Amino acid sequence: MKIKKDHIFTVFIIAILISPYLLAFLNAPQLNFKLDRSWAWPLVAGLKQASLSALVSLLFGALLASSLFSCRTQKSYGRIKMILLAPNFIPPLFIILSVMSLSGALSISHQGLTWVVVTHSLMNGGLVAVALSSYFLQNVKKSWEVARVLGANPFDRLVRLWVPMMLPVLKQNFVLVFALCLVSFSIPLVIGGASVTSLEVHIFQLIRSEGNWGLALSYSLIQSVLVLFLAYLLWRLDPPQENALSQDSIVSGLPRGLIFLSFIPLLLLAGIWIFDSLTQALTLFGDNLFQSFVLSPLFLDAAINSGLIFLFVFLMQIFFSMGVLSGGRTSPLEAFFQGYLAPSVAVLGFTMSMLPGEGEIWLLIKSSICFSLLTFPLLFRWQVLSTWKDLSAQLQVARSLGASGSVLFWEISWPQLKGAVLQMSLVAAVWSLGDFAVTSFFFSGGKTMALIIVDLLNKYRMEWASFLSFLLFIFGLLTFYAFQRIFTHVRD
Amino acid sequence: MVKEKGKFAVLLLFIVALVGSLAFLKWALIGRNLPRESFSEPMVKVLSYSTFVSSTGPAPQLVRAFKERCKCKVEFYTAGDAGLLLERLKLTQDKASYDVVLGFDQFAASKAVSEWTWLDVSLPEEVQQNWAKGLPKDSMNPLVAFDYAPMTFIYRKDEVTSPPTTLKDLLKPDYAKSLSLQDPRSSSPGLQFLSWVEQTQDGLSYLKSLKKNIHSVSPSWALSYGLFKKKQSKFVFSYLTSLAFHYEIEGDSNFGALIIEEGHPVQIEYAGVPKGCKNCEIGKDFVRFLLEKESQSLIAEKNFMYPVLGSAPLPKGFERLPELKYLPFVKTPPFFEVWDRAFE
Repeated sequence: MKIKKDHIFTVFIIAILISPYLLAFLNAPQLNFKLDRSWAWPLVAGLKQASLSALVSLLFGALLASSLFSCRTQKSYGRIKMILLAPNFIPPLFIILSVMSLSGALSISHQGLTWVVVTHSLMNGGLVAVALSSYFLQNVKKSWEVARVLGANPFDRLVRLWVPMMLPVLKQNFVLVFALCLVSFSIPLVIGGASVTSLEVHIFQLIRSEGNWGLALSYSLIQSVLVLFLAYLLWRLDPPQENALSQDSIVSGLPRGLIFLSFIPLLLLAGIWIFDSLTQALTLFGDNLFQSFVLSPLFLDAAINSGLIFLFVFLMQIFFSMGVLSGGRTSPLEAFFQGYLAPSVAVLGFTMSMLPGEGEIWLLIKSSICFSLLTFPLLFRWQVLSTWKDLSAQLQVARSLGASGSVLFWEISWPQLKGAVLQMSLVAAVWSLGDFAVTSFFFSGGKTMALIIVDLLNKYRMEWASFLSFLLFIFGLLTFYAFQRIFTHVRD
Repeated sequence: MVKEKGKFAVLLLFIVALVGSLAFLKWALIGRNLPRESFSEPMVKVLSYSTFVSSTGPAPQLVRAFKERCKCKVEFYTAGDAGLLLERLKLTQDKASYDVVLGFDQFAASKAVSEWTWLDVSLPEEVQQNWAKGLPKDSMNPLVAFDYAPMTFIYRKDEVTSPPTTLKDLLKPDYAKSLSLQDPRSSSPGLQFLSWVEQTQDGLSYLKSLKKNIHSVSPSWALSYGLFKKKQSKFVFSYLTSLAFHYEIEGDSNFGALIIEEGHPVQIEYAGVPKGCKNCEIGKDFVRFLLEKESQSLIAEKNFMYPVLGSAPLPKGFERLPELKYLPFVKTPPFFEVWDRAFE
């Protein structure tokens, strides 16, 4: 009976998360499937870009991992880990501006498949590095040391020990980065140039330029099913386990100087743009027009809207997580989170904008739901899923002792997962500050801070836009820090 | 467990209080100038693109002026960018009942006319008589044109001393990696460029030859213009009226527009009253209001586009713009396949 109840709940959760697809299929005016000879090329182009991005991210991640191996204490390991993960928390708007500043500084074009792959690798290399180092220190380090003592040369150790033993985590991270890059929208859209480098971009263009909903939905579905299948397959084959690292396991012999490697992604993805913005900011101090714009009620309204979206997204992520966690963990649900990707921004934005409710507060709520549906599956998998899996033994024991669902949630799951849940909710909320792709489906230009920036770009005010995006970035960082401080009181 | 729940409840209460405060502030901002009668007034719902509706666009002032006249509420809704207007209309008109749709370019307008029913908006005789010189009249009945701009390449005079005069000139090695273009699948100006090329050249071979001279292809006009302004490219495909911004707002005369012998495409923007509207008559009044002298002048000033009403006063800076030869009006969209094949 219990199992049946859990499974009904699993179906309910999955139904909520895939509701945009259901809505899209119900509302698509005509499913015009034009599967002619050319239908496969955007799919092939997207797969090529995602595979290359995942491969380069793995190689770059392996290089960056050496910065973690050069740490001597748990504290420095934690710090370097944060620095490596930081690029994943920067909203795409800022990353795009950074890449443009970087290419500008180098006087080369910022576009093409190579730039998309490089940008994705800079964004995800740190994520891979953290996963690789953690897995290595827990599962491979001892064998590596033994092989070294027994006289195996570095090449043999790499080919015959490191690669086979690291294969599970390499496969898992390949799939994770592959999925992230396959559904990447803003970066291929801007940095991809004239050629299609992402299926997401093609889906958006199909809806925009041809109104071909049928083909757009088919692509979106093919993409999601593909990733779901691949992730489920790998998860069934060899799920890597991760535990907390002890002080002993961290110590490694690599030179401390390698720590500098960890700063490369952050410097390239934010440093140059920040420098660029600051130099431009100097020209704005005497600009009365800019000052009166910033002090206008319209600007205040946009700031309030962004604040409300931030808070709504934060709350929604918490409630979604609590809902999923309270329903109990089932294998199908876990497999679903392992591989599910939200539909494309275009499909999601369009379907959600069809829901009733037109007042501004409703639009804020709808765009927050839309953004939450877009980010929740990814962030839940990323921050909560593995810890939740680790609790299965405890939950099983408690259940066999007759603990109720409420006790299981409040006594076991929640105390151990709330830190991760609050963290993922905060990340989603900070991302929402820099979002313009989702909110533009609901709001006119200038109604949120990110839309003001896009609107200023449209009105020839590039310097204003650049400076405001910098302020928004700083505000996001400060908010992140302030909320982290508040969380420590809730966590402890 | 009680302590656990208590701490979490305090956090949630804190967040909810923050939401409440911001919502209250927002309500206070919206409600500041809301007269009591507005609750019983009819409402005209206008669907438009983001930039037109934004605080720096013409919509806020147009709304104020029209509200005073019609004693009605005017609500603007956005479909993101102009290319998504028709899709939004097709999907939501049953529930949303928009009274006016505003912002189609001629290609989207042609599609809109063939895929949706539009009510006839009869224009005053004065408008018909004062139609802008060289601009096709009644080009997309029953949709009504409300602004336009010829398209060309903008450049910096100190970087390009002898500007190209034909599209073939742009293929010269002197201009390697110097053009900022827009993607026709995601940008209206990009579509105009593709149409220009297809109208005047052998599209595919021209684009293939042009590839080496393209600096970047951006998804939107704003991004490509940003690159140009940051001096990453020498030319940007844009509106002739972009010059007015540099001349008048920035006080910079270093910008010029290419005058191409073959002629230039013209982007025309249209508005209309769609089938399924609720307050259709007020919607029609609103479209007619857009074509009044003051509204036309305001649209020109805020949207940096030419007014379709020839008698509307032009904003400062427009008088310095060069006269361009226009290509014959085309409403059939260009073939995307040409673009795809050139860049595959």
